[in-house]
Amino acid sequence: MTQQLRDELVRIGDAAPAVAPTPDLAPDLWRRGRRARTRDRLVAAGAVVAVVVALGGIATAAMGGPSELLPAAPTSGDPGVPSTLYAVPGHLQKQDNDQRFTGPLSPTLAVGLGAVAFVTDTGLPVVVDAESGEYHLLDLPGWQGGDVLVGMLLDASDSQPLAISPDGRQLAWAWAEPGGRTDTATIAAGARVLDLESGDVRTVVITSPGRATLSGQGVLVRTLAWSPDSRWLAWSGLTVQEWNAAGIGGFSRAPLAGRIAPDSTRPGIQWRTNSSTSVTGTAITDDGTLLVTQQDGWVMRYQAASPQDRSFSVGRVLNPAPAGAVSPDGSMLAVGSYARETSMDLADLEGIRLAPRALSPDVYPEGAFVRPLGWLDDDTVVVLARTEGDGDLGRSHIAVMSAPTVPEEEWSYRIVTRSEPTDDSAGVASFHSVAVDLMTPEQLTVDRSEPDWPWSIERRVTVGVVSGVGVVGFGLFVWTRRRRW
Amino acid sequence: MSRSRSEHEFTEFVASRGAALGRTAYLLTGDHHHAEDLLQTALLEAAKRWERLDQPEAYVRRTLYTRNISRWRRSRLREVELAERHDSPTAPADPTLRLTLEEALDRLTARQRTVLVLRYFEDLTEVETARVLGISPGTVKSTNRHALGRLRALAPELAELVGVLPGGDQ
Repeated sequence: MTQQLRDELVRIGDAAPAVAPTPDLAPDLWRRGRRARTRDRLVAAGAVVAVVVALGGIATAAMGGPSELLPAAPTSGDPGVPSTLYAVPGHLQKQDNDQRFTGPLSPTLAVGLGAVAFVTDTGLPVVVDAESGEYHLLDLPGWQGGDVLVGMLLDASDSQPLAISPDGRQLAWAWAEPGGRTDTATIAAGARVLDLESGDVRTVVITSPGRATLSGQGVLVRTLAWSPDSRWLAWSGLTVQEWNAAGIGGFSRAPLAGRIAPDSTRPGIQWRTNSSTSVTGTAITDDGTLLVTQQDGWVMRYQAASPQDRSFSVGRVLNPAPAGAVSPDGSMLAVGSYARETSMDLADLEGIRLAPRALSPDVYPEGAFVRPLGWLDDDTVVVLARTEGDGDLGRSHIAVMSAPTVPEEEWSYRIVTRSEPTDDSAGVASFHSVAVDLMTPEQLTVDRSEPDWPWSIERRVTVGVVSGVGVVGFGLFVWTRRRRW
Repeated sequence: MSRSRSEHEFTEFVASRGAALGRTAYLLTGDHHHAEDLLQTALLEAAKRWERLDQPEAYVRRTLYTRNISRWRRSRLREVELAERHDSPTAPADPTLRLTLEEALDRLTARQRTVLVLRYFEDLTEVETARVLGISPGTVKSTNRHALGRLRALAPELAELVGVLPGGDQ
């Protein structure tokens, strides 16, 4: 059989019209090759100058070849990811003594198609409307991100407790309902999924087998990740031994991970991962294959039908950052990195780690933390990049970059969304997730105006006083003038 | 190495190996024009770095394989015209059988097709195939298996060609 197949392929090759180069082609190729080599050297030298000059605006790093990505479209009514993310003013994030947000929260959870979801640094979840650009401040049932203690545990660099689906139609978050200060019962906790168009909420309770404690026990979900087709949901978490209104602490050594099937309210199969290391992120393919990134760098794949089946490693990456993003064809996992030189690693899900993908040192002279958010296509990854300090790029921005599988001379990198602080914003937002399905090579982002934020009380008072002084002053003027007449 | 000597060696290489590389390019792409473009791209890359190449043919072949896969991935994003064959193969010994295999090859992914070409036309081992493509031998094995399975599903009459392989692969 093998010989027959070989013979047939040979016959196909021999019978096809000749593809051989003509005699004059070689000299032409040689000349073009020499010119291209010279040009590459000039581009490499000039790229430093070009990038330095462009840093005042949106940087478009030249990586040796022209970018195929087009600029953002002008403001339009089409749904899309915004080109600018505005920080929510601090006066809209006030909390009461029970750490509940008291600002102008959305009156409904049915806010419509979302483009971006993030959490403010005080723990308030926000969804940016894909069609209007409006910012919806959400009161999510069971959301614990506003709790100071829980918020400290959900370290922004190591968690993803809020995630919008790639199609922008669903929002998943980690929830819990701790008992009273003296309660000792196991608390209800897990993941919830909101249908952003209908407002329906699907609740998945996740429990961990374990002995009862003196002060409550529950699973703190720390990472959530959607499959590229927005159907499967991966999660990872820790069993908390002591959790009630009085406090939270006492984590089990063995992290948990699992997957939630489409439209399911069951937590699905759970795996107890390697107890000697923590989980830094999860991802899941369209066929439900769960991928877990561990702090020791190993990427584990769980494809079993039951927890008894063993997992096996995909490969090892350097200094893994939380979360990974699976390519649309399910063959690759992009994993972010803390390493200064390596911004992203790519794991072939059927084999070994592929080459890393570094950021340009000219754009990021001090390196950057990169977290893959999704894939634009099988060659282009959407990432969140965060730098130290407050440079022209802002502390966080969203970019699209070629995957390492693309030939290096064709690499491109483009910043597509920047963060803008507001005058009294509390700080840097975190846990960004993006509806990458709304991004296309032809329209990466759309321009949206800054929201018309409600005035703070201080501003209203100030304006009121000024207005009042103005009215009184005018009234006095008129009265004085009338007296003279 | 002087410039003129480099150019002479490159020209000799293209003249002596161009046809064989062209056949490989055609088998990878299934289209004459794509094959021409692919071959020229690979030769251009070789010309850029000729002095640094210890094994030019290996470099050119590897460029053919990887560029073809990249080209196929990008083409899936854009509207793709149904292939209008510009070439008309001459009559083979068994025209029905050969046309079916060509049509079936057209329906494989670039990676599947590339692995089949490397394994059965270029006669590379699984390890050698894995090395040139930058993937694991396990991936080569599974891709090969999937490709043969797909050929059988697309054209049952090819079962004789794509039956059981040595080593138990289906």
